[in-house]
Amino acid sequence: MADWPSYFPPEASGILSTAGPESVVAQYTASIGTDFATARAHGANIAHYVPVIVELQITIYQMSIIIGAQAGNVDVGIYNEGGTRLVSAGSTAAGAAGIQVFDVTDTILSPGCYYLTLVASTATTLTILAANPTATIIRGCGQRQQASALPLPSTATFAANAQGITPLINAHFTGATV
Amino acid sequence: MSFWPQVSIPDDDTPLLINTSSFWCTGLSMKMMDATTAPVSTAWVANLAIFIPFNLPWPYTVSRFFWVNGATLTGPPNTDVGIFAVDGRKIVSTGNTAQSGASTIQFANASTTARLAPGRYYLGYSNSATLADTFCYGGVSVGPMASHQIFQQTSANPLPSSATFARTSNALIPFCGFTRTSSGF
Repeated sequence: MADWPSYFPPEASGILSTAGPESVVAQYTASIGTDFATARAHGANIAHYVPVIVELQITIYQMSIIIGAQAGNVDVGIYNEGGTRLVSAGSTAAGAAGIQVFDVTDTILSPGCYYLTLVASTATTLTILAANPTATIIRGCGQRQQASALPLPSTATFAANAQGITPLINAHFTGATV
Repeated sequence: MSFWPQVSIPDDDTPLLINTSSFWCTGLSMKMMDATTAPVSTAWVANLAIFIPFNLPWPYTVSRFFWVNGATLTGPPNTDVGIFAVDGRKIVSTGNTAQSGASTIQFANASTTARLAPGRYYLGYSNSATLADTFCYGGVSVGPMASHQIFQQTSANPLPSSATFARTSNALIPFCGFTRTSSGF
């Protein structure tokens, strides 16, 4: 067990999330009273890299998003701070409205900074639950992007964020299979 | 689980950046106490400095600072962002930096890379102009700011080597922060 103060003890829900306290973007949205509860369109083939902090070693076995309107394909994955892809689902047809779960290869995350990542193939017809802070503010929370990134690349080419959207992405590490 | 600070922790186990909305700063608790809304382009008070407290549970390397420029950069105005100890001593800052790029985020190198020990500090922000030249949170008020020990100092651009903290009379909290990264974002 780690000997440093834990500010983000493993959540009761057993997920690492872009909407949880381990996410700098979520810390910002909480500070202004907004949320990730609205289904929104994402730029076509643009990968959204959302930084999160991992404080204790965990093993990810599933990832999930929440679909608003079904269309096209999506891919979700996890990258380390240097931009190396650790795991991803691969380009997958978007599911019906509601939670879409991806069974990913069990992946150990040691304490550190990671990017939970999503890319969608369509700009308007597919909607996914997300927050919508302004693009400039999201840059100040560490979020990054990459164009033409479906399926998610093995190595990220980070670009400055220009998207006013942060998708809700969950990585499951404990509990029963969703 | 022990709760004493770890004195040795690799940089990449700490957050990429810390801003005024961060868990370790006042953002969330300000929302609990005030009607805080998203930052917007806001007129500053010339040469005013605002000091926002934050707490680090681990050592942290400060490489760059950042803020968001407002819509009007006539001059252009100068911004100085830095970190102060609780006794007011300036530890590191950008020095006065000409703002460039309306309504965009701007990064500036710290005068020197600073390794902060775990503890409490103040993030200081100062601007030279009275223009809509900085993104500040909306809906803030001086009472909650004072409750959070957010202080001010007038005639403080560039940031002084030793701050004189005073109760704030200006409802201004800039969206700004610092990062351990030397590039990116």
